[in-house]
Amino acid sequence: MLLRAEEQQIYYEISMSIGTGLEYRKMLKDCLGKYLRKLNLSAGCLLRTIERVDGAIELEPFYQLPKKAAANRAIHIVNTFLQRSYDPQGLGDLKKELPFSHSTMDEEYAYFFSLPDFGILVLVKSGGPLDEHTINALAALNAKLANALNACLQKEALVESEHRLAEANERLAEFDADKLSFIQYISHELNTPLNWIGSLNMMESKSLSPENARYLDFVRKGFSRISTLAQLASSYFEEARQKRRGEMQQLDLRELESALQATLMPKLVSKELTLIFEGDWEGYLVADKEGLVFVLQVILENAVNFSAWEQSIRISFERADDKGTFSVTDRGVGIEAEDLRKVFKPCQMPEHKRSEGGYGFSLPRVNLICEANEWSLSVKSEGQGRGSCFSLSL
Amino acid sequence: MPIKSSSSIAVSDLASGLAEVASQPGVASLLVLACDGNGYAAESVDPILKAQKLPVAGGVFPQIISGTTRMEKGFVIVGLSEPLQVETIPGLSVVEDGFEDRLESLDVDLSKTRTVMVFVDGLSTRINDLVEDLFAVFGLEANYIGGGAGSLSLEQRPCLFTNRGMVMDCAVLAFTNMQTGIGVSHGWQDLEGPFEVTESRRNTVVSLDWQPAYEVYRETVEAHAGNVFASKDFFEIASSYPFGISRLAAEKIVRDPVSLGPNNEIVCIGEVPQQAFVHILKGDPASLIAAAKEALRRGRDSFEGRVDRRAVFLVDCISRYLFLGAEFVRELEALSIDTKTPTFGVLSLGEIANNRKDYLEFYNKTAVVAVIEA
Repeated sequence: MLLRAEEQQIYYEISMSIGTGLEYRKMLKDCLGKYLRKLNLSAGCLLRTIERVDGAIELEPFYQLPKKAAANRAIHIVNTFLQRSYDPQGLGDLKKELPFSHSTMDEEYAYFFSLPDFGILVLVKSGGPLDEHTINALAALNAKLANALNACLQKEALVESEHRLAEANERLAEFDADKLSFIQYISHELNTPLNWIGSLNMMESKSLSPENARYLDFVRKGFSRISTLAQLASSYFEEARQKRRGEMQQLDLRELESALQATLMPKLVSKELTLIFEGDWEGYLVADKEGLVFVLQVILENAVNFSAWEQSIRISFERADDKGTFSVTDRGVGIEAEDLRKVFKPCQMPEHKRSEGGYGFSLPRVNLICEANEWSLSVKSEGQGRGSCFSLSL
Repeated sequence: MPIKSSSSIAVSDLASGLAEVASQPGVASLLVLACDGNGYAAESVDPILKAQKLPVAGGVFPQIISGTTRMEKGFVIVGLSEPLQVETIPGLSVVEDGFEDRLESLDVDLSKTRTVMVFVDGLSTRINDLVEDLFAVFGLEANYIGGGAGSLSLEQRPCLFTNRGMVMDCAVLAFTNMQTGIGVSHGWQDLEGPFEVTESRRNTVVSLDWQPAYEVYRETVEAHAGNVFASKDFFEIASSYPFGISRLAAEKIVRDPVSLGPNNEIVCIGEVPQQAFVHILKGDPASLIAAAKEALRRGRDSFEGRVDRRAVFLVDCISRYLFLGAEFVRELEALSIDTKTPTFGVLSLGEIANNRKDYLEFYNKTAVVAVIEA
């Protein structure tokens, strides 16, 4: 005869086997095995309540030990004593009776327990009954088991959704790649007819009437714009597809400062703008030099383009170990809040900002380079007419 | 039931014994039990086993039993009237997947299986997993009887007999429709406890009640037996003080401590699960021999076959012999029905048994009796 303390230890052992993992088959094998071993039982099965579309509630066999139905007395007993499905009232009545037992043949006892919010647990003991104290003590363990099972099923549902999401993302990536290929293909294919149209350049305007010469001029302008657009689109979408990172090189910050100054000087002068370098421009960086120079040039050119006459543009660099952050601040036309996220996407330039010389691919290309190098690029603006600030963290 | 018993260690005698029993009328399969002391080499025995047409199952055990005689050398060959479906489960120490898939794939007709004989390499590390998976797949619709084969030297080598030769680190399952009545009992009693197994790795107990297991074990045993650890080696002491794992309304499952690990962990035959509560047990010859008698009674009571054709197959733990010493003769007498009933068996490294009522277990230091219909 076991002391009550030893019984408590047995329940503790069973309890510790419940919820040891979120894979329910393994968890149930461990913990139902522990129920059977520690309580010296011969079989067990769990029935899960499933609500059908017609409102009936089915008692679905969910897990059993032993696994072979022919070797599992609990399954035999369930098939004898329980219906396969109940109406809600019938199931409610059945649940009110739980826990209950049936003795069958040869001192075999079957116990039916409630698994709250899950279903029913059936345990079979041979050779003698469980005492009432044990039956009552199992209620708390069964509640824990039901909670653990529900957690396992939620986790399984979550894993399944994650799996579906991953599959959807994979399909999305395929569509995206297809889209890029398509646009690149179209851009490329435009080149041939553009070349044909370009043959108009061979015509001498002088040999045409003034009116025809004017038409030819329109065609030339159109040809030039479409040709540039096709070229930019083709190279942008090719870069987007490849996401190629540039070569890592040592970069002298003072040289970078001079190069940026020199490149922008004509435009700065023409608009009487001032470019102010702030922060620490001493020393070196190791980075995709070509990419970085391009990114900073584009951001500065944008600042120049969208600044009013005689304004100043500031570019600062703050070093953090071997990395750092560049910031370009202007007091120009600014960016509306709804357009902040669009500035880095191709072909999404707001209509009022489009110009004859701009095609809306510069900042998207900058974004591609940053993504390829895992740089962080962001833009802030307080709105129209309030300027903007681009930050690039290496 | 033809039974051939010999104290010879010669492989040629084993071969002639097999041929002799197999040729008897009504013999459908062979149970072969041999002593580790024979020093059988697989390359010598394999041709004999492979040449045998009848299904063969059995193994090499530390010692064997013939009648009321304990044998350290020789063999016993039993001719069974029911055929055996013999299946080998390899990789009993491979820590990967469980055995469920392999067991489920076996083509076994449970409606024609009254008994499963289970012989395992007793030095394999995953016997408990196999036993749990046997229960998980086949349940308790059949009786189970068997145990661990191998050597007390704890050196693992081929120790199980099959028609494909001798194998190691395997389980040999023999499914048969033979009538059996199974009795299990051990007679070990609580000395001290319970102790919570706060850290264990399969069959190795690292800590009890958050203290080093060896310290707890030594203090408990010395409080009972005096300062024995100074003068005796661990195996000698531990054979008298096993662990017992509690079950509700049933005898404790005994776990036999056999050695110490490199950091004084206690290594047992059979798994001691973490978070289990164990007692340290003690035994005395009277309680053990009474338990053996009880095991026989249970086996006889549950036997439903023909009494005039019954025999007794014993699987008794070798450590019971080591504990009882000269008094083991009394245990064998207690395990014998009468002089007319053929009795044979093994002294094993762990026992496997079930009477269709209790959960299937891998036992240690336990007497298992199968009353069988020859």
